[in-house]
Amino acid sequence: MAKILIAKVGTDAHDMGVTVVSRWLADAGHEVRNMGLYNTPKRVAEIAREFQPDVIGLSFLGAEPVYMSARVLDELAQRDLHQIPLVIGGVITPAMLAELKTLGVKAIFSPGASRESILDGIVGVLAGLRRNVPTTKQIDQQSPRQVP
Amino acid sequence: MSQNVFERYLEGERPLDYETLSGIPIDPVYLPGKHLMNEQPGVYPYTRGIHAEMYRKRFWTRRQQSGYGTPADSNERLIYLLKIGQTGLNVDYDVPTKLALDPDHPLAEGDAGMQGTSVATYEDVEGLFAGIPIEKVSSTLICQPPASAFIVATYVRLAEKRGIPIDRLIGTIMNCAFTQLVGPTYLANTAFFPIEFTHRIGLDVMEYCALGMPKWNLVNVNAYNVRETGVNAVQEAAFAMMVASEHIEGLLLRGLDIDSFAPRMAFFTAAHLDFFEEIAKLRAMRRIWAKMLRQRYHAKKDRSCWFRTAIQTAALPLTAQQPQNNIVRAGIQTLAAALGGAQSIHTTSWDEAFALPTEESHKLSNRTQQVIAFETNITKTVDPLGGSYFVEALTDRMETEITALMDEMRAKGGYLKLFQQRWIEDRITDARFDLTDRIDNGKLPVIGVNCFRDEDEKPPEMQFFRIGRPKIEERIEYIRAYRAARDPKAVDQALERLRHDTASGANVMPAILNAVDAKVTIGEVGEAFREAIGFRLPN
Repeated sequence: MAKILIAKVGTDAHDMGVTVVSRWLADAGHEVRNMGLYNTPKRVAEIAREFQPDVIGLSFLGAEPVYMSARVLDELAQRDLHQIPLVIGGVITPAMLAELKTLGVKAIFSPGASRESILDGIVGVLAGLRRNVPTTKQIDQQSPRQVP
Repeated sequence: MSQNVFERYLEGERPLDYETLSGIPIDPVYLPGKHLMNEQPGVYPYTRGIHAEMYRKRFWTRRQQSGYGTPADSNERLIYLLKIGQTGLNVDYDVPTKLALDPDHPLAEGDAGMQGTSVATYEDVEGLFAGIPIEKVSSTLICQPPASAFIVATYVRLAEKRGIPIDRLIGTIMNCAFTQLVGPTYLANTAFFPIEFTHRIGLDVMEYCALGMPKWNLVNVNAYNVRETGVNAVQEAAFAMMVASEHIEGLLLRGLDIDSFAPRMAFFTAAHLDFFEEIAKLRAMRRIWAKMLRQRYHAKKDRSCWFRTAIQTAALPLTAQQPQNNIVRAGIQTLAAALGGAQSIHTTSWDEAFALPTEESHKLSNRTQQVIAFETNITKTVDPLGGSYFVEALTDRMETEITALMDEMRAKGGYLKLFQQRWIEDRITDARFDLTDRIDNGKLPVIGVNCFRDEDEKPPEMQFFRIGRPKIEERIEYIRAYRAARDPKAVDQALERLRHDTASGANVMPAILNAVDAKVTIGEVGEAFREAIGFRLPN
């Protein structure tokens, strides 16, 4: 079981995704901290330093996920926390998927992703880390129901 | 549903249950009985429509929401929409604007211009409406209090500068304190201002509009955003009616006459996928509103009893999987909105499961409505489903269910109290888990998601709308240069007056208009509000 930090970054307040996914993860036995709404990238990194999660999950609707994910990764790197894998969920265009993978986002869940695919996907990301294998392929294998 | 393609014919297909989305049982057949319909449209209680001839005399307004990037970007799209046949505007602002944050606020960093247009100054509003005759084109301005005070003040100043008397302005300020942002979730509506304060400024705006802008809608109670949190049609309608009650009672307490403002109150509701339930919901809401205004609030004018509603086809049932299916869903939802007697319709674009709509998909939404309006002939008689045994029975049942929930909420102290006690939040959270469970366990079929999936589905190969990073930087540069170029003394004086009026409890609109003249920005207005009431942003 893992420690998972969940957050919305910026001003977007569409929080059905973080609410539901946080409970799904907690029900599966993970230790979940949901930071809720209105977080800056800096704050996510600060809480990550304190909570020491195994994985961080961000959720987006209508914002620019590539920009925001890059900012969060940057803030994490400034605190030597770049080893914590980042996964994201939300409303994301096909073009953004490739850019997010290039950035180093480890798994991406689009609207309609099932509970099983999200739980498996996160376990897969953690397993990939332990085996220390490249993760891009991992994403496709471990979360089959995402829009690839 | 059978997984074996060769078994489907022999097994047959049928509904998984016999209930509406709200859980109301549906009988095999409905017969004449107590549900005889002898009402005329245009006559109290307006079940069949608020006008005697409805679309025979005037179609609903085609009013697609639009807004992104800079005001100049949005202006281009707004004019494009009018050129392709849209009959009204529906202007959306980005989230920082709605929260009264300037684009260079740390929290706005990635969001300026992303989910709407970025407006922080009077000059932005001039740019947004450049070349658009606001005395002829009605605009809905999508903003909630307290930022709505700035949005109305800048619009008023724009009219005055163009020589248009403000009593001729046509349009709507959404201005709902409780549900406008993303529905009535607790944190979203309490993080930047206390809810009581937001409610008060909403009433200030309504009072100002009621006194000087007789053709302007002073609030659009946002039932749509309530529904999009995942609750059902009964909850959507009951919550919205109770929110409206809160606005009405606030204005009555200020000494306004019910008939001086109720005719300018309107609603914004969802058209979900349960076709007949949505139509019945709208018919029931007209009846409930009329009765509530006449019996509870003693309205004398007929217009006060008109339940007028803008409708957006619900986006929640749209899917990122097999996204073109959304075109079909939105078409059916648009038909339900029209058969339900909407005053204006926004047909949600098929690509909104990925991004804001492109020009192309915006056009398709307009065309969807035009096909229904001009080609299907459903517009040529009023309330064509009226008298259907099923529709009348369902309308009666919806009225009963919605009224029962309203009574329960009134007995518990009303909307504001229930919001503060997180009763509303708990209902939403329950609904969200119920909805996602039902999709997860297959009890709620969603084509392309939990049934009839394409196992090897590839991402759609078309262009989606994207704003990207550069415009955000443009806005940040703009607002910093704007602040640097003003008369700082005039700004300080205007902010001092605004803080004073806010703290004293006066209507803030005169001080906001004065602040707009002094080139105060929307973010500074928000900050002045917080200073005056001693509220701090968390973190």
